Amino acid sequence: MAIAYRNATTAVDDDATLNSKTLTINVPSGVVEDDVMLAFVASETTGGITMPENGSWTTITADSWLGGDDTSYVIQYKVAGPSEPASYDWGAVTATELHGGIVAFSGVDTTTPLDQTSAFSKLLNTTDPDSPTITTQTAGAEIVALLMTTRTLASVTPPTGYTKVMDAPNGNTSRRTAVAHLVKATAGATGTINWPTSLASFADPIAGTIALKPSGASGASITDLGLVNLSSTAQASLSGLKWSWFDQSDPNNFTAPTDQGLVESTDGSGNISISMPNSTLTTGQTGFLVLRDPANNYIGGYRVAVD
Amino acid sequence: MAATLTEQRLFNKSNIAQASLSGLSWAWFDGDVGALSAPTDKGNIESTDASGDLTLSMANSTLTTGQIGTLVLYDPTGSKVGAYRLAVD
Repeated sequence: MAIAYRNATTAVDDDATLNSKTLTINVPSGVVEDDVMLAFVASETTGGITMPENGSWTTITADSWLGGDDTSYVIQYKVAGPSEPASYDWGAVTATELHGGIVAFSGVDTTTPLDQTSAFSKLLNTTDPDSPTITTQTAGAEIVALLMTTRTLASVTPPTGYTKVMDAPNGNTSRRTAVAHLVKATAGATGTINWPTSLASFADPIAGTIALKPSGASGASITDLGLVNLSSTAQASLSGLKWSWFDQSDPNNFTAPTDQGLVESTDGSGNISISMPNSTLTTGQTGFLVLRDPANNYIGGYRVAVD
Repeated sequence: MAATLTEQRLFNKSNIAQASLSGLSWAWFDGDVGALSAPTDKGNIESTDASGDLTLSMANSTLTTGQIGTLVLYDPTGSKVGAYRLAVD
């Protein structure tokens, strides 16, 4: 099943008006059983952040430090149960300007929600933050990039290609916690994820990257399918290949393709490897691949057993 | 609206016309590879004539004369498959 964004909520405990040292974040609207919720909570002080007492939240990372921009933050996840409460409370003994939110996704593996070890960086004295690269293991993983700024910003601009779903200021708008996401169709390295947010002055932001693992079958793949021309010559180093994959092996039974692409390539031996994250075929089952090379005026069909 | 393909000659990779094939399974798409929706038409009893020509009617196609779609063919008896970008009549 493909991962999909469900909804998000944010909250702030404003010292000037609330100062309760408790951050109550509503469960996002529409969350159902087996959705996975990510909570991102931060404060402008050291001493750490306490976890909700009314739910089994798992900590992905937590840290606090004194000096420069005093900060405590925590990032956690929880698999939604059959009956979620209306909200959860985070807090701290010496909390100042608590802020954050919950972002929910459907279609995440509820046994192992994290595809790969998450990565976080505490960036010192920077105006141009990057979330670190991670290498996903599963096609269709949901990349969740997180940023906490420690300078005043009107809003956070998400990384290119990412959709921002959370942008939570603290009470005096001197800080923000932001979350953006995209689906990574193929397994592999994300590369560093740049937040095009030029901070007004040197700051100590936190930037992190989480990969959520899709539930159920992790799709299918074809590895090293050799392409040859009419003279049986291997078609090495082709690029810009267009393709469509069908889970049916007989055209008379075709429905819409489960996966398609526009930029595949063959390697130096003329082999092509493709991941089909939405395919429901299992190892050895046969589907149908249609491939077109616009540059060389080639089109072909293949009945192929998936890996 | 409908579209047709008339006397499209099919060749194998040795450039030999594929005459008198029967029971061909096929699917027609109004779009291009990489951006296909579900096929508009499909079937499994098509044949080529003695010259290797295939004629198809795609009753649900919305293409007009000269517009290009994608045809996928499969001959179960000979385990042959093919894909074609063709302009409709």
